[in-house]
Order: sequence, then C-alpha cells, then structure tokens
Amino acid sequence: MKGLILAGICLGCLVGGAAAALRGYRGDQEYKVLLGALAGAFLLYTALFAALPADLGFLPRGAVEPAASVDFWNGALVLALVFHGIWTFTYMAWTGPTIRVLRALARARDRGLTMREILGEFESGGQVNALLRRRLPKLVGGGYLREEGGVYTLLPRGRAAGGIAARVKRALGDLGPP
Amino acid sequence: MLKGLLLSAGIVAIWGGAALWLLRHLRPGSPLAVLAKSFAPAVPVFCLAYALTPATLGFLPAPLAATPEPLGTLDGLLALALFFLTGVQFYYHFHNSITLRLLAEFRRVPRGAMTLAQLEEACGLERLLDERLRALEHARLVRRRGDRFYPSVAGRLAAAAARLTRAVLRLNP
Repeated sequence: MKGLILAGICLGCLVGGAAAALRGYRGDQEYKVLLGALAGAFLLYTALFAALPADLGFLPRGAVEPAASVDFWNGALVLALVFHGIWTFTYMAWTGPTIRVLRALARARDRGLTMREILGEFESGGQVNALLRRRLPKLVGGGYLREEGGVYTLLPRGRAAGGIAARVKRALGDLGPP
Repeated sequence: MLKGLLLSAGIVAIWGGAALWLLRHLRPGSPLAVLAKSFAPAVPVFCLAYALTPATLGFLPAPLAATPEPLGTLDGLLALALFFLTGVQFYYHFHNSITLRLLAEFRRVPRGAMTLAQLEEACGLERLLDERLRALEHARLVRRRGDRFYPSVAGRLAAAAARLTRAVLRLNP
C-alpha cells in the first residue's frame, strides 16, 4: 500500500511537472519533456520510498506489504502503467484525428456537421492536410524519411519501423486502411 | 501482492490471445466492445483463482508471499485493470496510428519513395475520417441523422476531457 500511495503522489507531481515544463518548452520533441517528467517522478518515488517507514506513519497493519521489494516494484509498475495511459491519452487529445472530429462536433453542437464540413477541419486551403503537416517533418527529423525535391524516401530506420508496424497490424487482423 | 500480480498478468495474457483471435475472425465494427465484453469474465476468474490458490502459488518464496489477503486481492484487481487498459491502448495504437500506417505504406511502394501528392492519396483523409466516424458511431460517441453527424453526451464528455488535457498541458499542434 505504501508503494501505491507514493506512486499516486508521484504521478500527481509528474502531471504538474510536465505541464509546467511544457509551458516553457519551445522545441518540437515534446515526448522528451514527458519522458523527463517520468524519470523525475521515478526518482522522487525511489527517494520517498527509501526515506519513509513501511506504514507511512498511519497505515493499519492489514494495509502494509511485508516485503519491501515487492511493495516498491508494485508501486513502480503502477506508476509506469498509469504514465503510459496518460501519455497515450495526451497524444490522442493532441494529435489524434478521432478526438479532433469529436471536438469539431462538440463545437457544432445541435447544428451537426456533414462529412464535407468535417473534412474542412483537416484541410487548409491547398496546403498539406493536417494529418501530414505535423507528422512528416517529425519523420524526416527522426531519420525515418528523407525529403529531396518533393519526394519522400524511406530510410533504413523507417523501413525497420514500418516492417514492425506491418507485422503487428497483420497479427491484429488489420491488413491496412479499409 | 506478488501473487496477485502474477495471477493478473497470466489472466491478461490468456485473454490477450483470445481477444486477438476474436478480433481477427469477427472483424467487429466496435473492437472496444469486443475487448470489454471478452474481458468481463476475467474479474471473477481472478477473484476465484486468488481465493483457491495458495499464497506461494506453489513456487514463491515465503517472505514474498506474506501479503494480507484483502490487500493482495485489491492490488491484483488494480493490476488486472491496468494491464487490460494497457493492452487496449497498445491495440489502438497499432490499429489507429497514422504514422505507423504511413511507414507501412512506404514499404509497399517501389523504392520506398512517394511524392506529397501520393502521400496525400495513400493517407486517404476522407477514407480515414469515414472509418473513424463509423467507429465513433459504433462506440455511441457520435450519432448520424441523414448526412449530418452529432456528438452524443458521451462524445461531448470525451471532447471536454481532451480540451482539458490540452489546456492543462498547453498543447497546440
């Protein structure tokens, strides 16, 4: 129980720390800020776990895990799994087209939107659509693609990542865009 | 706690294999409904397994198997829920990720090269949005009347949660 309580406290610090760091961050690799927040949360968790007694001064006997190592790693696992959920939801809320559609529909309220109007949320007057606008520079910057004269070419790193993606999608029964 | 963790991990691993089989063969309109319904029996199975098995599971050292039973059960249920949610998130990440879809698409074309126009066509914006809207309808987050789409109450709540997340973390694409 000590590990779970400390993990909960450190997750709160993680969200606060990430929010504060992202306010001042001017780059385009926000994932580094989130990973840094996770590292900081884990360090804090380790320090608090080492410094505090097994019952945190108030836990009843039935809520104390006798094996400190089990308690520690159990809390660390919960911290990691909940962070993964926060990370996934953050990126969905930030870049996901599904959430973007929902937000557009929520703004439209009782008026509703047609498919053409929803498409308009993603297109920007002839420029590359919003789905690619953010993703392509990151794929080029991350060494997955090379851009030359308007042609994008897969680099070895991108080929490896694409291969893994294709194999996992086949295993999921998803053979590509419907 | 270790007994609960191991039992929940084992149950989720078995469920994961069964869920993948169901998804491949049923090709449901709402994978989430299939995942949730197939996982529901896991909770009573876990509780039963926890009650019927020894604290050491036959192989754990005694010092690591001394967790009070209520604490171990609750912690195991928490782990079960987190493992399930993580599994669902991984499924949707691979199923929905546009970046991974793009990279997989690059592998299919000659020399792994595409122009922007080819990319726009491969990305299939209208087809992708049609796919997502159908998924949202199946999940009852969106309703359709004629050619217009409307958010359900659940859809508005999801949009509000996303708006709050973006506001807290100051995220703007």
